[in-house]
Amino acid sequence: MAINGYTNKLSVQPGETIKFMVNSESPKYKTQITKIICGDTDPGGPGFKVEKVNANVNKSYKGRKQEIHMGSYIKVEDNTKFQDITSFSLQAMVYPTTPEKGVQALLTKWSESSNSGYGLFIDEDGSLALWIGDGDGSVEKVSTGIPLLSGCWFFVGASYDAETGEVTLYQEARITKTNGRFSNRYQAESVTTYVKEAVNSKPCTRNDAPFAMASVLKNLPNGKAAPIYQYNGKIDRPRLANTVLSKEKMEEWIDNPAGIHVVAAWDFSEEITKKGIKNIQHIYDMSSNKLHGTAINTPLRASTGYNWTSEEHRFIHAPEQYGAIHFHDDDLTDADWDVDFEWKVPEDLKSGIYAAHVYADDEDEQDYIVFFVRPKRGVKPTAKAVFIVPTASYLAYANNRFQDVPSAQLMFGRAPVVQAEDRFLGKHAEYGLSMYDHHNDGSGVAFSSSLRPILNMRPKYRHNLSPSLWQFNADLHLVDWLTEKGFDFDVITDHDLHADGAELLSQYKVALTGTHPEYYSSQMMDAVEDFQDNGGRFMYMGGNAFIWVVQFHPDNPNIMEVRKNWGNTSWKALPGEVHLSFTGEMGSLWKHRNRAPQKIGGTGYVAQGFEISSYYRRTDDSYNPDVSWIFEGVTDEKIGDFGLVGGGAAGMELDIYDTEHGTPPHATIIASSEDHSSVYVPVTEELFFNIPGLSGDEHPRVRADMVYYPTPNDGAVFSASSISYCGSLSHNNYDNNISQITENVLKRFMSDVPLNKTVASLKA
Amino acid sequence: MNEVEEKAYLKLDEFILENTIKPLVTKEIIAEHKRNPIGKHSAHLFKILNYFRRHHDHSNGKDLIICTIPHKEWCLGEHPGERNKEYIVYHDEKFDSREAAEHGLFLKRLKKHGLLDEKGGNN
Repeated sequence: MAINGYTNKLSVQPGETIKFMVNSESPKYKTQITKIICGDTDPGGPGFKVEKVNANVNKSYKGRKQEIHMGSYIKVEDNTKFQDITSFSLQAMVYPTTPEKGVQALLTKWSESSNSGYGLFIDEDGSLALWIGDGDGSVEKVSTGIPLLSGCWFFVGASYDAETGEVTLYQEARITKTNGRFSNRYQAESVTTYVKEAVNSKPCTRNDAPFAMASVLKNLPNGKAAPIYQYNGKIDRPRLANTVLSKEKMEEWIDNPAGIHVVAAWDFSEEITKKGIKNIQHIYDMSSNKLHGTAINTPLRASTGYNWTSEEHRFIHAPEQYGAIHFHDDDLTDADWDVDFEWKVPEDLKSGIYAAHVYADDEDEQDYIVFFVRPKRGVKPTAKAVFIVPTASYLAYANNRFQDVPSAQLMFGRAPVVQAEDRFLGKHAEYGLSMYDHHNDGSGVAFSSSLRPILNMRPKYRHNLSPSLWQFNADLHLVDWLTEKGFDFDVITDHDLHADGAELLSQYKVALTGTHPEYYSSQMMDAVEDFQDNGGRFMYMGGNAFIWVVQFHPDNPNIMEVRKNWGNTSWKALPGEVHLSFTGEMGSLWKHRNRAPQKIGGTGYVAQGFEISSYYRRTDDSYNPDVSWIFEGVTDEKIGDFGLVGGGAAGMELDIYDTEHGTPPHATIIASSEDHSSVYVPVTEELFFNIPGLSGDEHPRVRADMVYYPTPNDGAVFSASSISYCGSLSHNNYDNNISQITENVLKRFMSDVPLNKTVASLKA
Repeated sequence: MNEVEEKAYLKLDEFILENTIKPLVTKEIIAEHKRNPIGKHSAHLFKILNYFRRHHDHSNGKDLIICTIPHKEWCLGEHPGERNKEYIVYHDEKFDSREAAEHGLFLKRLKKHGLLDEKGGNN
C-alpha cells in the first residue's frame, strides 16, 4: 500500500480534464488508464475483469511521498494589526471535548520554529494557559492549573500588560440547563479560577505566523503548512484587543465588542442565511480591521453556542445561538496533494467506470484510482439505460473502519475480516474517517470528502462489513452483468444527478440504481421522483436506499455533509445540530421529512444482518399476467438461493413493502425472502418498543419484498429490495433465476413497446 | 464509560458469564459451531457468540480475523484499541478459510473465558 491516490473530481465527461494526485513511496511508478468491469476476485465468481485504455498518460512517473495533515482550524493571514500588538487581551467562549489530550491551541499567533508569539492554549494538564514567546528562545507559560471540563462551556480570557509584564487569566465555567453535558453548578465552581502572574518575556509579534484558531501552523519544507496542537471542541465569539481588558469589559465584549481597542472580533454566525451558511470556509471579523479568516478541513458549523437555550433547533432561525464552530483534530476534507498527472478524457470515450491503475515495477504495490466517465452534456445518449453510481454513498462509507466499532461483531454475526487496505487505514488515521466513524472526541463525522485516497472504493477490495463485497466493488457485479449480457448503458454518478436533475435521467428509458444508494440529497430525490412521474422506468437494484439526507458543498461537491439521528446509526448529532450547515435543511432520515424510501423505491429499509444471505420465494400474486412476464423462463419457486454476497440474493439489508410509508397500493409483491437468521433484526427507525421476538427467525417483517408497479406515463418500478441481490447475477455463468428476472425486466423497460397496464386499469 | 460505569458494567458482565453463558457451553454446542462456524445457529450457541462478540463493548483487545493472503490465508488478530496503531496479527494462528478462522476464534474465546479444558472439552 505504498502507492495510492485520488482525483480532483469523481465524475468527468469526455473533453474534460481530470487531475490525479499520487503518493508513491517507490521512486518510480507506472500508470495505465483502465476500464473496470468486475472487481470480485472470488475464485468462485466471474473473475477480475479490466480493460486497458489507450491514453497519453500511460507511462512512467517519478514517485514522491505525499502526506496528509488532518485537523480543522481557522487561519487569518498575518497582518500588521496582529504584529503591532504590545499589551493585549484574548478571549472566547470554549467548549473543549478532550481537555485531557495534551497541548491544544485556541487562539494563537505562534511560531513553532522560533518558539515565539502569543497565544491562548489548553496546556498539557488540560488547564487554560497563555503562552508568551520572545523569539530569543524564552517562552513563558502562565496556566490556571485547573483542568477544563469536557463538554462544558467556559468563558476564557487572558490579558498581558506590556508595561508591567502582568498576565491575567480567567477560566470560568458557563454551565446552563441546556448548553452542555451537565447542568450542575457544583461542577462549575470547582473548575472556575482566576490567575495573575508577572512574566519577563515580551511577545515577539513579528514571527511570520498567521493568526490561527484551533491549531498552530507549522511550516513544511514543501512550502505548505500543517496544523499542530489541534484542538477538539467548540469556539464561540473569539476576540482580540490591543489593550488589557478588565474582566467586566471582557464580559461586555462577549456579545458587544466595541471601541478603539478591538483588533478582531470574529462572528461565526455572520454567514448564516435563511438557506444555510453561505460560505462555509469564510470566517467573518466584524471589526473595522476586517481580519477575515478561512476555515480549513471543514470544521462543523451550525453548531450550538454557549447561549443555546434548546428552544430553537434550526440554526437559521436563531443564528445568535449558533455562533460556535466545532473543531476536530481528525477533520479532513482535502488531502491537498500536488498533481502528478492530468488526463484530457477523449471525446469518444464510452461512459463507464475507469481507474488510473498506478503500480510500482513489481506490481505488488499498486492502486486503482477510480473515477467515473459520464456522457457528455448536451449530446443525446445512444444508450437507453443508465446506471446511477451511488457516489454519495461511497463518500459516506469512505475509509470506514467497522472493525473499530465495539458492537460491529454483534451486528455482523461474525468477526469482520480485516483486509490489507483496512490494516493500512488502521495505522494511517490521517487518511480520514467515514460517516460511520467517531472523531477522536467522540462526536460523529458529519463531513466526508473524495479529495483523499478512498481505499474501499476500489476493485478487488473485500469489505469488512460484508462477508465479501459492499458498495463500489459490489456494484461492479451489476456492471459486469450488464456488460456480459451485452446491454448498452451509460454511467452517471450521484454528483451528476444532484447537479443536472431529472433532465439528465429523462434522456433514458431506464435508470438502474446500485446495490446500496443510501445517501440522497433533496435534488437527487427530486430527480428520481420527477423521472418516475414522467414515465421513466426505474430499477431499484439493492436495499436500504434513499435514507439519509445529505448535501454537497455548494462550491466543492467533493465534500458531503450528513447529520445523523433517529435511525440505525453509529452516531447521533448533538441536540440542536441536526440541520445541515450547507443548506439549513433538516438532516437525518428522509422518512422524518415525509419522504420515506417506499415512495421512491416501492419498498424501504426494514432489517439487517451481515453474516449470510437468504433467498426469495415467488408469491401467488406473481402469477398474475400483469407481472408474470417478469418470471418468463424461471421455473424455480426459490429465487436466488445462491450468490457471491453471503450465499444468497436476499441479504445484508432488506426492504419491505409498506403502504403506510408510501408504497403505492397497486404495487405487487412478486417475491418475498424467508428463512433469515436471528442476526437479522429490524432497524431502529421501524421500532416503537424494543421487544423480544423481532429477529429474522421469529418475525415476518424481517424480509425483502421484490416489488413491481406501474407509474404514470407508461413508467414502472422494479425493486429488488436487498443489497446482496446483484451478487447473485453471475451465478452459473449468468444463467440463473435472478439473472433471468433482471433481464426480463430490463429488456421490457428498455423496449419502446408500452408497458400496457396503467394505474387506472390496474385499479379497475 | 467512566470508571464508575465500567465497574458496574463489568460486575454484571461477569454475572452474565457465570449464570447465563457458562451453563450453555457443552460439547454439542462446540460441535455445532465446528460444523457451521458462520450462519444460522441454535439459540444457545447464538447467546454464547453474542457474549463473546460484545467483548465488554471495548475495542481494545477485541478479536479480529485478518486476511493475510487473499482467498488463501486468514489469521486471528487483535484490535490495539486506538487509531494510528497496527492491528495485531497472530501469524501462528492461521487458517485456510474464513470459516475455519471463525471456529478457531470461537475456540480461542472459549479458552479465554475458561470454558474449554485442555482436552478440548468444556469445563
